[in-house]
Amino acid sequence: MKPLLSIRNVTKIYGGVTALNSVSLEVKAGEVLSLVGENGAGKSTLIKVLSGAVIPDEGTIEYEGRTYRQLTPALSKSLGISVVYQELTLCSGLKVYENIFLGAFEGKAGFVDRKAMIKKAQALVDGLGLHLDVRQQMEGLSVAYMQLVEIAKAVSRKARVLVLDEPTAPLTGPETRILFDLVKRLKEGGTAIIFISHRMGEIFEIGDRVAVMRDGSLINIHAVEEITEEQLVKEMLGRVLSKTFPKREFAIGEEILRVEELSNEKVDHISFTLHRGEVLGLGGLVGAGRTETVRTIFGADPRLGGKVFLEGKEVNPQNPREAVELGIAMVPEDRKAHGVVLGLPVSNNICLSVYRRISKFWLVDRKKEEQLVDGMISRLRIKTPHRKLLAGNLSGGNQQKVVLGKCLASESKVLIFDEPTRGIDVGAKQEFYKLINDLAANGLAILMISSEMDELLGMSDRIIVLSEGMMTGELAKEEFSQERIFEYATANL
Amino acid sequence: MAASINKYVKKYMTVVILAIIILFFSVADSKFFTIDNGISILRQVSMLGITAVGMSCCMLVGDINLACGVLQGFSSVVCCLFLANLGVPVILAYVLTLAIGTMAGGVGGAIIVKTGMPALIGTLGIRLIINGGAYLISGGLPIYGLQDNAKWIGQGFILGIPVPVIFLVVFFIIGSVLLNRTYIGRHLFAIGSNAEATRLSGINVDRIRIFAFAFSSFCSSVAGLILMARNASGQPNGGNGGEMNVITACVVGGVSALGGECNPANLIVGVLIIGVLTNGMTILGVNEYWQTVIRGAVLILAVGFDFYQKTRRVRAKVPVRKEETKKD
Repeated sequence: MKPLLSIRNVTKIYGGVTALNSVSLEVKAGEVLSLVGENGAGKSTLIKVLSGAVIPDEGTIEYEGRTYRQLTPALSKSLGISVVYQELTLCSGLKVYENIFLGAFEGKAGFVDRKAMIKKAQALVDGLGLHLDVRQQMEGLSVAYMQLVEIAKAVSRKARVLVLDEPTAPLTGPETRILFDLVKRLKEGGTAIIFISHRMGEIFEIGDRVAVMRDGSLINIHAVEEITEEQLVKEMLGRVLSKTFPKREFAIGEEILRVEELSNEKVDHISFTLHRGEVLGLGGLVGAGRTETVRTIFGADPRLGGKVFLEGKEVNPQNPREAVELGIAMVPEDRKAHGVVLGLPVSNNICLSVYRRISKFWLVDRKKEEQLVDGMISRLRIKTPHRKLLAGNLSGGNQQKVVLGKCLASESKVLIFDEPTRGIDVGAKQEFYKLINDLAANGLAILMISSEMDELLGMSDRIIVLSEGMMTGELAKEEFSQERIFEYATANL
Repeated sequence: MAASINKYVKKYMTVVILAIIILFFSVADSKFFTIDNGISILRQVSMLGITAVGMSCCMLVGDINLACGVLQGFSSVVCCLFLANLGVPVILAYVLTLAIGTMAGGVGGAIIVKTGMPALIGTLGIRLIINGGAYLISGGLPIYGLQDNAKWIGQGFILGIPVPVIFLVVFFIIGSVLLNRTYIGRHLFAIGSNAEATRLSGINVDRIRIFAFAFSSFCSSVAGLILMARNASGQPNGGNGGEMNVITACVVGGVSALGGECNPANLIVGVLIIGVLTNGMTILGVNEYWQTVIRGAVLILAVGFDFYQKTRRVRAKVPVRKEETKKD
């Protein structure tokens, strides 16, 4: 049988980082192809190539015998490729049938024909075996049903390739069953389905074939009958840790930060300690609650339960300002939205947290400002022609250094890195690792979230792993292994 | 090369426009380009300019203060009440009025910031309350009976220069120092550029935004005192609608309607453009309805240009930026 959709040698490079490395993949009509891989393996980028959101640097996409160099969102839709993302794209203020027909309302002369739409939508939903009144308001539905509506919408647009990006992540067991029934029905109807999940059991249950991705490359494709779960995990993780990480040779000191039973909506009773000179890695899958955990410690998210101790004393930071005053600083995950202020000069960014401290009678001491900024530029080796350059004109790595400079300027004791090297090219990454080591050597306590396995293993002195908001494991340096981390990270799925 | 010319055009655009307008009116009517008329223009824009200094701080953080016009009338009424009806000494009456005006702005700002409502809607409500309040205090009629020494702030001269003009200059210096030299200014710029990143840097964003509302209201109250002194009365409806001129002056003066951009030197040019346009058109005998239409057109031009620069142009620039980020 000829494949419906073929991806051939697709490569995508983001500013020096290879997100997709000559990936080739085929999907046939009426099959479920599972796509597995760790965070950052390139699954999302691959999907975005299909949806037309990302233009590949190289390679082609073949669909029904025609070859495309790139797809646009409109072209992708008109070809019948439909992607259901984790973040659903429905209008919660509208009714179910309105969402199904959104963008393709039926009617004449500018008036919508409600009755016809309701009838058609109800027939569609019934045909898919869903028990749902299409006149219902979208807001009242559970996440599972919202997802089903999204799939129904795709079906109504005659989707022939349906991509489901971790559809089961927010679902309960029975809800997953409903989803799987729908997937099976669509598959029998001849739809090609690409299914992404971290849950191994589901892949073996629903998938016909499984494609393994790792670090932007397609590693292997198997028929599910021919492979075991163990082999699959091995292939997902089986990278040779090639990157060398700078060595650290100094002792870890006394306890600086202790967190006890930290809780809120996304964080479930997490406890750990962090010492002077230590880099504590925080591992887990995307959505495991790692970012929420550090934001809660930092006071950026509400803390509903638990205690935070800094140097043995209980502290209670209610907002980031109090955390910064206590000596906790954070380099956030989303650099452009939360880290660097792109429209401000390098100097204003670096001094942002300390302007009050370097002011007298409201007036900023500009000599102190200059000294601080120039000191930080040379200490962190920030490549900028002068301190008044807008931060938005710097490269990603240098922007990240500016954020780090801001954290160091506030003389913090605890430094939180959330994905410190995301979107930074390889050379800048190495430089950043050295900086992190220097900071630890100088007595800072460092808490580092990383979705990159080699970075997590290479940089941490100790690793704790979260899964679904809970802490599922803690590893000392001599216990580090990719398999152990993966096992803990998927423990609660 | 072309890029640097472009930069200069953008930087001195408002100055060039002001010069063209002045040149036009000078040629059109000989009464325009005289020292007397120059001082007269400055006196006419003094209240507008002082209010614009405060407004620019609000707009800098991405907020807006629609109550800045009616606060002038409110302050004039309140001060007149103190002076004419209660016999409070002049200086004390001024201080009390400024305190009340500032408080009103601060409380209103706190409500807006803490509830998270859009400033446009929030200050619209505050604007109504303050305007209504001014009528209630005055009973709907102007308050007269101002003693002579209270009129100095609006009608007096120092070395031949009208006092309101001196106040205008002082307020531009205050605004300039506040924005360029103080930590509050640095925080205002940071919030306007990226409020969430600023919050995560440990800055009390709410407090700075409330400060901007309070400062804007303080400036409006000062303008209100001048208004009272010039009219020798408390006018409950004074300054009503003036916020539109203030916003126009700010935007023409390079204050971004999206926040994050403001330059006091540019702002004064914006204020002067509005002042010169109004003065020149009046001298030429352009009817007032046409003047309103022209001010509207100037506003559209200024905002349109600003947004075109930011959105349409940036889109064309994106690929260039990517190249830049690649070299580290």
